[in-house]
Amino acid sequence: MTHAEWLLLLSPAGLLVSVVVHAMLARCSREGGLWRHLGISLSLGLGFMIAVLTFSAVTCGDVPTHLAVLGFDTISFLALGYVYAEWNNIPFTSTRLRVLRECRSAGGLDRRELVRIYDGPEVIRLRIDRYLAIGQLREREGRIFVRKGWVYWMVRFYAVARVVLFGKG
Amino acid sequence: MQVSMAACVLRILADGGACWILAVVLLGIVTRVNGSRPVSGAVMGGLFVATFPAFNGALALTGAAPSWIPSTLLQWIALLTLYGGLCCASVFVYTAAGDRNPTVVLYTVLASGERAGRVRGDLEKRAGAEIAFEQKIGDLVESGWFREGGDGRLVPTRKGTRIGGVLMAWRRALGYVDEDVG
Repeated sequence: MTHAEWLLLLSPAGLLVSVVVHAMLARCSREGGLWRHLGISLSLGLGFMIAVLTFSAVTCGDVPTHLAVLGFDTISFLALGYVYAEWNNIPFTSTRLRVLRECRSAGGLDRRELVRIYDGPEVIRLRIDRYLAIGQLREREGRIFVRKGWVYWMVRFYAVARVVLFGKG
Repeated sequence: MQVSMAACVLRILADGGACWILAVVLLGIVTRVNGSRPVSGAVMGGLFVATFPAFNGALALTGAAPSWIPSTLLQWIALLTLYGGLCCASVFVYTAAGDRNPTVVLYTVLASGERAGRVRGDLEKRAGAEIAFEQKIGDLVESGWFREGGDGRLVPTRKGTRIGGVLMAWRRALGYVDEDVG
């Protein structure tokens, strides 16, 4: 086992740093909300990984191997980080969790009763409020406009994925 | 031939990347065969899990091992971490890219309004209709999160209660209240 092989496992360690920082931020402050906290914590996790690799490259001197490991760990960390971000997004935006909550608190609902409490326009209303609050949409003179922030680019990415995976535009 | 550690790392990266691309291509093919409808989580999981040993087994059979597939336990763990991360990320992208994702619908309706934007009430109504909420409820029953009792009431199943419980527990652990979910 070489030193470089251990460095290949830095991405889970970086994610662990992100999880700890995220939990601390979420418990200590509400400012900026979920996505700001995730942005800060994932950046720190990535920074931790790069710092360890830089320290290792300086002390060992094998730069080509460390650059290869950096590429490997960065791709691995970005994939894990995206999964972690989505894992956190679900409990905030999931329709099924809201339906679950409504059904449990009412001791069971039929479809008509459910739609009276929570329906398509209500789902959209909550999203608009959320995206306005974090600056991903803007409202001017009573009209809503798209801003080219990260949500816009995610939606564009999903549109491409939809064509690739489902063959639909 | 002696392979440098840098080349070895890049080859493991290529192994994981190629294996993941193959799994995504297979997922696309299975989806088209399914009439361009999203496949179930079990099918998706099975496909991702089966592709890994099949791909690396095929590499080993062609004589590419050991230079193109990992040769130590740590390298295998690193490759599995990379492949697992990419596959889990693909599951989330696949779900979001599927039909009637509310955020995608919202942005699509907004984009169709061109530069003038949309009035809030109109946007809520149009995009709300597009996500076909009643059909979504049907999907929840179909996916096994709820069952419909004899009186037409939606009752959470054990699966829905367990998965939902874990997700809500995570939310509460971060200090958020349950009220504004959705």
